[in-house]
Amino acid sequence: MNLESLNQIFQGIGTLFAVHPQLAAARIGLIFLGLLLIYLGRKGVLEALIMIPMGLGMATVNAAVMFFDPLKLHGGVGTLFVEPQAGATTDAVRNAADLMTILQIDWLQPIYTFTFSNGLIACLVFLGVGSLLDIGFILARPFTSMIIALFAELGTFVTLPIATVFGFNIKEAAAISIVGGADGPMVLFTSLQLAPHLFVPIAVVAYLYLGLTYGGYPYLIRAMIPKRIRSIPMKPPKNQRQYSAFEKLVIASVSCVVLSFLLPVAAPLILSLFLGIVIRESGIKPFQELVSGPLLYASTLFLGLMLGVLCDANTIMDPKVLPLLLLGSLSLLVSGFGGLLGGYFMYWVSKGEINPVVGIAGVSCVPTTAKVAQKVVSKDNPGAVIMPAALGANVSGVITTAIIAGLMCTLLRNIVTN
Amino acid sequence: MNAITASLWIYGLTIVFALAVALIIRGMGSLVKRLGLDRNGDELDITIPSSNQLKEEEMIAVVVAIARSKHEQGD
Repeated sequence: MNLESLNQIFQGIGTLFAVHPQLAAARIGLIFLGLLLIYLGRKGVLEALIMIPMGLGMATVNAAVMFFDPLKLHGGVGTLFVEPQAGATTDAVRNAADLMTILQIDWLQPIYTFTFSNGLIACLVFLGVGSLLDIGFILARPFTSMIIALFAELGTFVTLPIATVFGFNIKEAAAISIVGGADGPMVLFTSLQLAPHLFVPIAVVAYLYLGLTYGGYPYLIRAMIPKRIRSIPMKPPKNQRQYSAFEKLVIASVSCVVLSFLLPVAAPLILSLFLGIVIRESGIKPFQELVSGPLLYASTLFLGLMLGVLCDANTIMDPKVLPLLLLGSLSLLVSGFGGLLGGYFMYWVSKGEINPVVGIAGVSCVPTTAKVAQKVVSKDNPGAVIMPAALGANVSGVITTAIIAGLMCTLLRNIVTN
Repeated sequence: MNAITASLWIYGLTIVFALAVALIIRGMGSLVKRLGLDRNGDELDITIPSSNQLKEEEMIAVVVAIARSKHEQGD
């Protein structure tokens, strides 16, 4: 039995020698990175819900490469997982045939084609997130929450022009910069609308970094805000009204319709988010249990798994991915910085009543950043509770990111780029 | 469209839209209070029975029927 026969029998190993050494090294690196993500997810350093399925998907897809390339896209090697490039040519007849072939071969292709490439998964996640949101927090301080969230969008607007310097056109730059909005579903949605060819790397970068915010933002907070100010306890706002579930339902329904009027492009996401809120407030327990449990967790599981299997070496070694990694981290860093500046601004306006750490929650990433804010404050002053205000900024962050996604898609979608 | 101009335009419009939404939320908050829409104690009545409820009702009917027939035999 010669070496070639062994390569055919053990194709996962054999394909390492059949491709460029750089690609082979990337495959091995990604296998270890996938395993590291599982470990960090389990340890609580990264968001476990996304990182554990993502890590295992990433490690496995890079191990399970074989001499199989039915669409002849990857030099004779491929997997039985998913082919995001199927149906992406300019020939409609070929696209239909390619897609049909791949749907019958790759086991995750139906999920990719029918839930990822049309944004359905983003809407399902948003529906689940909505059912966990209490708009009572934003009703308590609507302007304070919204102003903080507007500061926390700074990363998006700083990164957009910088991305064009890296050679991206304005639509690609917008799709990348919205990573600063720190809302995974919104990033998926915007990249599908404005730069579908960059959808896979942008989605992967966005979710990797959103996982990292949990570990990185506490350092940013401690670097920008001294302990004395971090430990300020927050009182409930003066003359705070209590809203019943029925009133919240009315407010959420009207807000949904108004936002959809203003931003029809983002209406699928807006409806999904507010439908979740309305289900929560309507008291229909079976629906609430469905969307906040099985639907949200099933969507998150498949989202993580799909992002992992999309991290094959061919995609990650694309020359456009390295600048994406830099721009994604810049966007989130500047947004965190902006959020804390917003926190300081409200601290100054309220004459010291608002703890500026709340600002980090304006970055969105519901409810991770709100939990980060409370955790940091609790370490310095165990008696200080800022969670309600942080959740208000969190919900506003979702709304402002939806507004930006809608504006970007409306204003930039029809621009002709080369 | 120049990238810096586009960025500033979108930021400006975002500020206007977000503040408008905050105003609507604040306004709606005051309006629902004024209209007296508060139905805090209301419980939603889901009248469509679940499959579990139907099964339970069937089982109760069977138990009642058995008890009745035993009662009649005893008479």
